[in-house]
Amino acid sequence: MSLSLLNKLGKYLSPIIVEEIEEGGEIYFDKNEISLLLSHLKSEFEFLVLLDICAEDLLGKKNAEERQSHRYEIVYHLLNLEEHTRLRVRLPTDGVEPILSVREVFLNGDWYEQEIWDMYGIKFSDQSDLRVLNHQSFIGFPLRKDFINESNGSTQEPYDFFDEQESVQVVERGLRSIVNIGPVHPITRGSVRSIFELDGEKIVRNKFEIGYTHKAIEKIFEEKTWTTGILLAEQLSDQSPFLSSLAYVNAVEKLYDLEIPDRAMALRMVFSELSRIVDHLNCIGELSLSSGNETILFKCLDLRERIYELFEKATGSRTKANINIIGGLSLDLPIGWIADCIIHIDYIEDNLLMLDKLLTRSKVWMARTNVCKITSHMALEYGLSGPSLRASGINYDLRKASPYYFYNDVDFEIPLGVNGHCYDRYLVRIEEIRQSLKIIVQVLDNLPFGDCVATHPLTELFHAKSPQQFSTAEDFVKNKITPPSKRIYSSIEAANGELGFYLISDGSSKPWRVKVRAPSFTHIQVLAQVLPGLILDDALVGFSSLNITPGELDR
Amino acid sequence: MILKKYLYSPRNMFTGVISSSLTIVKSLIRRKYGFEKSITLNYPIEQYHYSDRLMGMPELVLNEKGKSLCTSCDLCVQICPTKCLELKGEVGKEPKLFSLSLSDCIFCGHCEVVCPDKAITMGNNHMLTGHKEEVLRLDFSEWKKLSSRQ
Repeated sequence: MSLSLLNKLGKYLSPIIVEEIEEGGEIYFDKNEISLLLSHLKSEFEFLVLLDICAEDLLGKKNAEERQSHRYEIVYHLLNLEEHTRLRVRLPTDGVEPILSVREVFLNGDWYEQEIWDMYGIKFSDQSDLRVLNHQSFIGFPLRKDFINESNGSTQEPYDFFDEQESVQVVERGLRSIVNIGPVHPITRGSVRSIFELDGEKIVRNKFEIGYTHKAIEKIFEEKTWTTGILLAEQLSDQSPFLSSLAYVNAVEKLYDLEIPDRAMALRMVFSELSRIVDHLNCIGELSLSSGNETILFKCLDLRERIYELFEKATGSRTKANINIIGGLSLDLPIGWIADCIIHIDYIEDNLLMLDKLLTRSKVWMARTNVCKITSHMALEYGLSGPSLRASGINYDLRKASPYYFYNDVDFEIPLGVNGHCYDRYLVRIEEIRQSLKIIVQVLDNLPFGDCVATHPLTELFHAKSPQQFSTAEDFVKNKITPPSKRIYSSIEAANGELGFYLISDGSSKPWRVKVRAPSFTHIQVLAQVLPGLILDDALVGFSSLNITPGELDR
Repeated sequence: MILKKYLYSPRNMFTGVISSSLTIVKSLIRRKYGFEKSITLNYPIEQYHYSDRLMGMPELVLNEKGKSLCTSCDLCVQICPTKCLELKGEVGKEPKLFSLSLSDCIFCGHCEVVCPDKAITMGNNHMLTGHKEEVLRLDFSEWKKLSSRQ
């Protein structure tokens, strides 16, 4: 990590101490002027991106630090793109007085603050009472530790966003009309409700209501042990569950300070690139479907099927590949898998050329997708990540910026768009598929030998040679080997963008708090800003080009 | 790597029409004369063959006499993330009640991993349908019937 930046920061903030941690720096800030501090950090030290805001309830926590005398703690995650440094600002609060809002400093702070109000009941200044993930008539704040569910579950009434609107159907009011799409996702991948106010065919105002597929994953995490949490993490993404479980497992391994063998790292790279291809293909297919090009969708589904076949052969299930365990992979590759993989890679490469011929530089396709411009300034303000950020011309990829596994040693390039249109996002994705194929071939060529599982008491069950004993199995079930009491933020480059896990452990077998930093949660905010002025058809194109996944959006 | 500039200039209509119709004609010919296989399967006649690793229905492992190897240690019930297993019985003996709810099972294979007696295993049976929820709830004797013998 860059010491000089943190040293400078320490001198600047002089009475406040900047602690050095694994991911960068940490500030414990117990005054009220949080928005002032963050705007200084943004303007003077170039912490341009707000990754996440999350809260923690300290009620009844074992091993709490001495200074944690308040009930709640709000944590701001900031990122400096230039130096690749992350900064964590921890703010203690009692939840009585409203906290100064940062939504004017960082535009994506708005939804994060709203989510904290929804989950913890902590107010920020000038904040409305809208809930984000829960229904409006929900009683209580679910992520508090003393929460008891009092809602009867029958909250079926749809909530209206625009005050003057009476019905959810199309209402004619003079020249303006209100159109409600959903709660079915426009491209049917989950449920997001979108409401548009139209002037003729142009969008004047628009709102998104999310939370229809809210599964309370962060709450359920607190009831599961560290090992069974992997299955929950897989529920985050419908197209690339391997990547979301990898993000979780990677974070837990950092928490346990556990090193996994080389072969497991290499295989994880192969599987994660395969999942990335699946996700990108699905996104391109949806993009073509929403712009009236059904043939391309079926071509993409065919290519996707090939990779599912590979997953089925290696892991035993087509989509939810539960092969990740804490400490490596539960299964090694079957015999003949690598040959199969190379045949399929060849097939995909051939067919990508065909996709290229049909779509890239086609006049109709370009006219249809040259909408929803996201400038690089806007992309940074809203904290976009992944292909959508790179399509706006900003070179930031976690695989290059802070390489994990062997991404340092393989040769690949990061494609960058120019204009930030949907067309750019399409081009970036097509090129990324090619680069992923390149990575897979390189890793498979130099696949290390050895075990897939680390030698650690946690993974004893997965060593095939050792005889199975009741006591080791019981240790595994009850998760008796506990991690140290620590907090950690770890992220990987998922298909959509930076998928991060902020884990807080109190030294017991269950997580104290798990916060998912989901890329879709920021992407949908920027979409809401871009849409006014466009026509309704373009909204669907924009929606699918950002690859908004309700699974990780609602969590 | 900044994307090439020519990617942003639309090709003219002529080359577009020719190149895309060529692709279509080419793939039609390849399909017609058997150079390329059809993507879909002719389902009831042809069937997809899954690999040996397929995670299907959890099955009980039975000995030669048709008895289960289970010793009622309850570990699989504790690890099951969806609580689809139910077990009652004395430790060390064959369980009195051991049921599986297939409508809840997510085929994660955790029960197979933790079982110290290797009494439960993930089978290959993936065509699991039923008209009612009760059909998908297997009690001990039904589950034994569906399990293959060792």
